[in-house]
Amino acid sequence: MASAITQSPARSKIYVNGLAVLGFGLLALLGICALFAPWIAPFDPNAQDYRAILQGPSAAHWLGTDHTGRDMLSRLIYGSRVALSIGFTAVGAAVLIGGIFGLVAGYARGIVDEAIMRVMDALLAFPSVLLALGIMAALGPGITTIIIAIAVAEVPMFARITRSQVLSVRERDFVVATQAIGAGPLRIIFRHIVPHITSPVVVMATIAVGHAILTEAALSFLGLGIQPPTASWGAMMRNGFAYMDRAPWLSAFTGLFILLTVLALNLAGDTLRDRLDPRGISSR
Amino acid sequence: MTDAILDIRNLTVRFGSIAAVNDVSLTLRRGETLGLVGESGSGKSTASRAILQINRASSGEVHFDGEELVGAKGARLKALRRRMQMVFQDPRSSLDPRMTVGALLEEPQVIFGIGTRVSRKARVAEMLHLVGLDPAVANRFPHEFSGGQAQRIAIARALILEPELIIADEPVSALDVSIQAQIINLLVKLRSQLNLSLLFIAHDLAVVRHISDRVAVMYLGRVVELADRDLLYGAPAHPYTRALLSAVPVPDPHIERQRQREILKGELPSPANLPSGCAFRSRCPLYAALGKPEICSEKLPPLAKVVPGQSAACHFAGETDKVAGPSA
Repeated sequence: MASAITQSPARSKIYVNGLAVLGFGLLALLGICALFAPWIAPFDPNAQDYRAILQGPSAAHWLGTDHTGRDMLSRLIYGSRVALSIGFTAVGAAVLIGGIFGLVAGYARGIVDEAIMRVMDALLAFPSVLLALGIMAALGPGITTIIIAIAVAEVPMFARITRSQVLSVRERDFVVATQAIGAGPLRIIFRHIVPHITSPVVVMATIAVGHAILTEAALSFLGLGIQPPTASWGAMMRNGFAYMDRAPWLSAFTGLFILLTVLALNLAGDTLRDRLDPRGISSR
Repeated sequence: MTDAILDIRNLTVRFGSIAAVNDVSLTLRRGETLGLVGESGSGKSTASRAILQINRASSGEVHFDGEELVGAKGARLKALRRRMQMVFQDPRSSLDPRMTVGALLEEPQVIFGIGTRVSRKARVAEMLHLVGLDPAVANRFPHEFSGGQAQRIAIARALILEPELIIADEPVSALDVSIQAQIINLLVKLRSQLNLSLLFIAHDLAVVRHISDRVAVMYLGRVVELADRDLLYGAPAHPYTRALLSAVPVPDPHIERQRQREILKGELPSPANLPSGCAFRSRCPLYAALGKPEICSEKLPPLAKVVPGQSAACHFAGETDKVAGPSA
């Protein structure tokens, strides 16, 4: 413990940089997998091969095959498309919608703030998976529904963080000074408040993408998410679950992919938080 | 129209049940510099923000060049704001840290749609030169400057639209003593060069002396003394002003050592629970010396003329000499 505290700044910086490289490296790798899946994946993800059912890792099938003889590596690579696109779209929508609510609530204050935030609190009161489950049940399964469900579940969090940031920034002298100069609310919000609140929101969003991927996996695991035969990590977990005793690698490899993705997003979020400090910017 | 650029009448600003500014009336003549002095919490900053309509007044009127400011909205308020600007205490917090100096100085011109990109940039360079900075600093960020330099930038930003009135809210309090004089001298120079009226707020009388024509002293939201500079410094009429003046060190060690200070006893009362009558009586040396006269706890002393050019809000304004001990 003592050695950790007395650790030299140089060493801890390298350590931090190492984690940053790991986080962004993994993310880049995943991004490439998702973008170039048809070229990278060794097999068609939906091609069934009844001569190779529930095989362990081998030279032909690096990560083994599932109960219909589909290549696990190919399915995991295609699954990253689903996971990342759902994660980023859902969080993107949540940031946009939650951000607008938060900006309006924090800037207007008073009754507008109360009205928006009480609705957000009501949404926040539901556990996100439960809320998403309800929406999925109401709208029926499908990739669009799952994005809507996850986005709705994440909106209150972004509304809250945006509002709290706006409240603190809008009282700062430079905002008051700009008001005194005669600037209107739009200029103040977009030129002087938004630039100061992006970093916590971006950090939060990065971590939320990981959370969204987990939610998608959970919904698909429960059979409400992505429908077969589309490769989805959650659905693959559930399939593997049934063969836990005979083919444990099915769930293990899928779990590992989910784990690494969420870890990479969290590390990236931490790095962004450290890097987006405004004192880091300089003209030189 | 009138020679008063700023006419404040019975201005009151309340936050909940607390009156941060209580029935303040002040007039600033065109070209004049009025010093506004008081401790933290006396309401001087709140008053300045209420003048600029950043805090809304609870009651009272503020006339700027004959036009009512209280309740002004939209385009009319914007047009009036162009003619009066504020300089804040801490330039590092009043300049947006994410904008370059050039962008900060251009912004007021952009807001009012003045000039072209080229002419705005030229104006920025001109202003930077005027406040004693190299125009090449325009593409640097505020945190790359010292406090004094940053305050020069803030002054340039306030002056770029050629306002008629500047409200300087403790513009030197956050600066090193060695830099304070430079900034004050800069304001004095610009005041005559640009024909400005100046409301200069400070928490000690020493800073205001050099720059002000008249000085107002505030205590717990009210003006307790308003006088021409020489009268106020020479013969303060309110016991609070006397106490403030005695806190200013004299730059002569012999006098300084022999001088008897009037040190105020006790804390500033809570603004939520003010003493009855005169709010200063709980700390007033004159009140104690006169044997706690009843009128002080019964009647709020109005700001009344003591001699021409000097008014004070004290029932015994003429009798400040009765405080025990030899005065300087």
